[in-house]
Amino acid sequence: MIAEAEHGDQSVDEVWSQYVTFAVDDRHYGIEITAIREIKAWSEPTELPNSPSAMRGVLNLRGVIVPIFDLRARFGQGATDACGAHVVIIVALRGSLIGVLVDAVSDILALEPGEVLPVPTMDGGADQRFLSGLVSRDDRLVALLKLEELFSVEDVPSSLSF
Amino acid sequence: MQFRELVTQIHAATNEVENAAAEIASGTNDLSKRTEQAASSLEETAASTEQLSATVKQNAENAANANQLADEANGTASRGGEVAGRAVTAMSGIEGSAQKISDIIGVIDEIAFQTNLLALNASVEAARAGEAGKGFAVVAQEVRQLAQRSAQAASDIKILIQDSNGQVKEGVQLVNQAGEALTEIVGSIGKVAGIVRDIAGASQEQAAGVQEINSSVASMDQMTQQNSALVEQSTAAARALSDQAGRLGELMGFFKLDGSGAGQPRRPAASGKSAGAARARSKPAVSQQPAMANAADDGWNEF
Repeated sequence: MIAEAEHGDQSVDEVWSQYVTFAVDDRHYGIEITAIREIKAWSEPTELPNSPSAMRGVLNLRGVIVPIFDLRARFGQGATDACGAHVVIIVALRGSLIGVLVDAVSDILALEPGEVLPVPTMDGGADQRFLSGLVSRDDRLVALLKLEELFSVEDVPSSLSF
Repeated sequence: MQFRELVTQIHAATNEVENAAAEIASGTNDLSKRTEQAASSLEETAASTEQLSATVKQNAENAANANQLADEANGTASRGGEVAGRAVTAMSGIEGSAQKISDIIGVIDEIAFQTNLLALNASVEAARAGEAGKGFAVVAQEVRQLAQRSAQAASDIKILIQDSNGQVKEGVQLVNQAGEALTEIVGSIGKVAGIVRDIAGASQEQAAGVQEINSSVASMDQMTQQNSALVEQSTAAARALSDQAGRLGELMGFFKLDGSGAGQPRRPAASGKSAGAARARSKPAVSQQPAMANAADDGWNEF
């Protein structure tokens, strides 16, 4: 990792893009590191009425109200039984912040553009629009998420967007 | 005619006395033999009871030894039970320590988790800083690796502690079972000790009984010896009686039955005296003979 980082010294921004990878169950996903604002341990958010099923509530993050979404619930796998070992990744999306509840943060990947494999097209596969590509690392496949598709405007309560 | 009849009667009486004396002699002979047999049987009995007595005594001693051993075993098993109890206490102490270690490991795990998150945030910040954050990214990466190693070590230790706790629980269970087994052994040994005590008591009683048999046999032996002596005396007396009766017969041969009868006054005196002498003779065997002779002399003198 250090070697990679040192290797990336020459021109990081051009060649390398960095992804934070995390796990939900035994599946691995990646979010581009520049979209991330903060990574914090799970703390129980304040539930809001009539919120979408994947939304666990809101957190007050240094004066900013941030909706927290359960990625497992968003993938239709049921609510996460969250404890202190779970992690919330705060990302900037369309100018506002949202939190994404995941099981654990795994790693930071530095990727060359050529390393990202295209998502195979499936018949009526709705899920593929959430993915920007696939990466194979250390015998595991990491799905790179398109957050703006995953959490569309109607998911985020309008009162919270700015 | 009267005298003749008297002599004839004396003859007959003498013959009867002779026969009776012979019967007595043969009877005392038999008695002597039987008394001898009885004496030898008694001797054997005495020897057997002696052996029996020794065996019973040995038995009693063995029972007493077994009793002592059972007591010692009882003590040892009791101490084993105490040791098992202490082992259980020690193991619960180990369990308590393991719990404390688990708590500390939990804290370390939590710190590693937080450190990892901080390092991740540092990486995020470094990435957002672009070229300026590159060096910082390397540091953050290093910190993250350290945090991950701490977390890994903490989780390894947690697994070890869990294993150890499982083993300690198993050990506690085994030691408890050992304690229960020892308690059962103590109970069994108590029963064995009771039985052995009973055996020891019975052996004691047997020894006393055999002792009584011994003394009875000894007194029987003594009596048989006295009997034997008495039988010897009787034999000698019967022989003497027989001799005297023979001699009386010879003396009576003096009277010819065909000749004139005389000595009528002699007979009752002689017969009375000899009968008395014979009666007296049956007590002391040897000393009677001179008295008998005297009695005969007296008779003759009177005659």
